[in-house]
Amino acid sequence: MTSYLYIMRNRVREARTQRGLSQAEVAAALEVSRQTVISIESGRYSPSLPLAFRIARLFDSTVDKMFDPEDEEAGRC
Amino acid sequence: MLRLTNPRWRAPAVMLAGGTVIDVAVGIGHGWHWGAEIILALLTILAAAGYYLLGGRDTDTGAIYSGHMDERQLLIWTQAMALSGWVVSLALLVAFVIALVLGKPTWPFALVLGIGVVTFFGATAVYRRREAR
Repeated sequence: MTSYLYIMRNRVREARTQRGLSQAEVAAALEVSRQTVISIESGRYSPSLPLAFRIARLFDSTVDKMFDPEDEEAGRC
Repeated sequence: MLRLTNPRWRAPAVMLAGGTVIDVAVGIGHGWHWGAEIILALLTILAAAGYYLLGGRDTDTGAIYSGHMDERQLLIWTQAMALSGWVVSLALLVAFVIALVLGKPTWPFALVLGIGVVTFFGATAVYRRREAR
């Protein structure tokens, strides 16, 4: 089966720590679980486009600044 | 307040209903042996209560069991359901072949396998259309 999941590097942890927010606070603001914030920060999970936009808005940034498609590496399906 | 519309109650409620139906079916089919009926009822209640309690944990598993999932947990649930479907289909196929070799009735396995295949094709058509909208 062809792999269709791609993991992109992101700056979520960097932006969160700069603002002094906890993972639980970010999770509450984004209406996702703390475990999902941890997975996004560690690069194990790439968020959907709507969630990526919510993340960018939360940190007053843009999707292309928060997520780096040039650093993408193929994940496993 | 206790609300049955809360997703956390759905799976335990289905388990309780299913256990009750099986309990009654055993009673009708094999006679009412109250010791066995009570044990079956207690096992059903324990399973439903255990599932409900697991749904209260602040973990991915807890979120999946309680039905309060975010998009990543929904993906995990979908993948787990797909894998379960594959394993059940494989087990049914093996059971079908064994029944065939032993000369036993094969229709129950063929029927369930057939329902699975028809559901897969139907679901593919439905979800493809929904996505196109």
